[in-house]
Amino acid sequence: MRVLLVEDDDDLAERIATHLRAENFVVDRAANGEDALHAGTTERFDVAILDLGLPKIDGVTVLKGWRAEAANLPVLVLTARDGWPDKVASFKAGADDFLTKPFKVEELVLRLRALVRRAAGHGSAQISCGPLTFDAQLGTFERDGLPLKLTALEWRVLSCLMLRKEIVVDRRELTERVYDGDAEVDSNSLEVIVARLRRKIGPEHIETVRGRGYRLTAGETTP
Amino acid sequence: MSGKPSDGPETGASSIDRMAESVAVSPTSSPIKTQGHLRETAAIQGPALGARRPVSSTRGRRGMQSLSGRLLIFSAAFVAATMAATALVLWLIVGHVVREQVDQQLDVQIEALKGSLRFDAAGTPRLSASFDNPPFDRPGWFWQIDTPDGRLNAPPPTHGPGRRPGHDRPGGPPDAPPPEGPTPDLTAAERPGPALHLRQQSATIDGRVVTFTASAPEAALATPARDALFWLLPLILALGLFLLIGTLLQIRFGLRPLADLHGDLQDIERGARDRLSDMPVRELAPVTTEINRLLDQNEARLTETRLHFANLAHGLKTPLASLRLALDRETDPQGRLAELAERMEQRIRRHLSLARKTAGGALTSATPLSPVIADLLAVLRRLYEERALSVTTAGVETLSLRCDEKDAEEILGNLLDNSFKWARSQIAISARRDGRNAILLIEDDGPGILPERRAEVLRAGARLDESMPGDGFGLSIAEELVTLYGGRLELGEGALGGLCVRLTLPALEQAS
Repeated sequence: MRVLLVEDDDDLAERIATHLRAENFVVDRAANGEDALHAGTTERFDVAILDLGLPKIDGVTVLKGWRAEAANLPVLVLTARDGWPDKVASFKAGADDFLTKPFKVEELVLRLRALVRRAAGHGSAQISCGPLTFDAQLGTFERDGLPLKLTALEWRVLSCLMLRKEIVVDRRELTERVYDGDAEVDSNSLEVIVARLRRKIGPEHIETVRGRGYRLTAGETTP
Repeated sequence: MSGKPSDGPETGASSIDRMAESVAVSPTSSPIKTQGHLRETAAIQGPALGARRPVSSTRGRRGMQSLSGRLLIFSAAFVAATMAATALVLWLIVGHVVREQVDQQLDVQIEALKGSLRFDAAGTPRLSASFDNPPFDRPGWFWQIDTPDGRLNAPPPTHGPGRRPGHDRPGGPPDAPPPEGPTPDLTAAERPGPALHLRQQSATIDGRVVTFTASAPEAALATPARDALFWLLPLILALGLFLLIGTLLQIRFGLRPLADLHGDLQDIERGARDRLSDMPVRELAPVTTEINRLLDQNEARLTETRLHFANLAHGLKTPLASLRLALDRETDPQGRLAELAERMEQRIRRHLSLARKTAGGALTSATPLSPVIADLLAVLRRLYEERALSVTTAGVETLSLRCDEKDAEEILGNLLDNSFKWARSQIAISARRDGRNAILLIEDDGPGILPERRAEVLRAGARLDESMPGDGFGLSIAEELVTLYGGRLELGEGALGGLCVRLTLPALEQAS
């Protein structure tokens, strides 16, 4: 899951990013409204964390700008302003959730996951595909009722495929959601990760669609 | 709420007394609050509604409180006085002219008498002509000549009115002897008959001192003046009426800018406009400019204050958020630092909410209730997405609050948030107008609050149930803002069985 973190306080942003990375999120940062507006409209994110009091362009304007540019990523407003007028203004501008500082990081993670899940069209926190079950709220995978151990990269790939099960996920999109913004992207390593995942969950569940990407499937074709 | 008999403003003390009483008298002090007779309300009252309005002066009649009324009253009084003076002066002038005329007639008669009086050899006065020409043939028009040897006069008293010696002697001999018998003295003080106006003149004729007197009835003097007034008075009244109509037109058109200003002010109060329109009138232009400047200043200050508090909140809470994230099992094994951070957070929230009050309470603006509630419900439905609550609203469409929109959002947001937090399945919002106020009821079917603890939840930072998320400031912030607007926030038990929040806020006068 790739998250755009818009926060002008470096210290806080770094701490949030660290916590989110530990929860298998890919975190991209923007420190002012201008960068945020640009990033949100030109790149693909699963979710955004948006501060309201930003340098250059304020958060509500950034949000309106995103929505005007048809950037429909789910947005969680994370702000020190806890008044209802700010909440109303944020939601009217197109926010999906609102969290006030200071906050518990667990709360933030839960809400981000819920936003991503709902944006992918899943009403329930439990997403199943064949023998696989993904608790999108807790971020845990089970295979045939048993916990599945995954590395961070594996988790990112599988959760992305899981949220869009039975749909082909573009390679490039998958790559974007798996590697941190500046990280060296080695396309081979995506193949490696998928190969490892196939070993863990059964090769028939991840289809390779030539020239396009991958698809997670319940695999009815195989007994 | 139905159990609460009166909505009248009360003092906080008396309401606390009432609460204490209800707790003491109540035979069941058990915490089961579904008992009907425990429907007592913990009312935290603000200043009595209307206390913000300037106490209107009771001096003077109603008409004197309106500028048009004052002008009309003063103008009417002035016109009436002028009319009375005019009538008086005209009456005096006419009277004077008539008197002059009558005097002249009498003087002519006297001169004629003087010219025709001769004394014969025996010394008897004789007139060489008849002197009963008009008007001396009418009653009250008399003449009299007093000589040392006797009196000559016109009307022998034995004759009735209209009958004169002259008539008995039409074309009588010029040297006719004076009538016999006692003659009445015109100059006598107690003369019978109508009051007379006299002219007297003395002359020496043939060596004798003779006094000539001619009289006219006083009525001849008064009647023409009265007749003149009879015609003049309606004219004067018509003139007065004309002047009054002129005054009315003057007030209507001359004071039009003032009426416009009044209308503008009412529009501002109603929220239909936010500034006064420019005045083309020299005397009023500074007023509107100054008021607009004050409105600008007030708005700018409000915005600035809000921004300042937003920045302050940001500046204080962001590092606090960092601090919280930095505290984990390694850096804060016993959780003491986290506790400190929590306390800091509470203080900051408390003081920011207190400070925010200074940016509230703008009475100039009006906020329609319906969109505010719709916006808040949209937000709350998202925030409480997992909870399938049914929310009904009634009577909010036509109401507008005399309250800043942001304050209305803050008040209602906190109250509705509380309902969403506690309701089991439904929330009912209803509003109605009560005189100058809007009364809003927010009811839920949650657990409610025990009567004796209702006052407690309005205290800042108080949380009756620590298991529920929240900071304990929502209701206290709402209550403080409501008080700032001179409204009231009361907690009671509603028809749905849960808490019923009864909110009284100044409403906008119905648009005319």
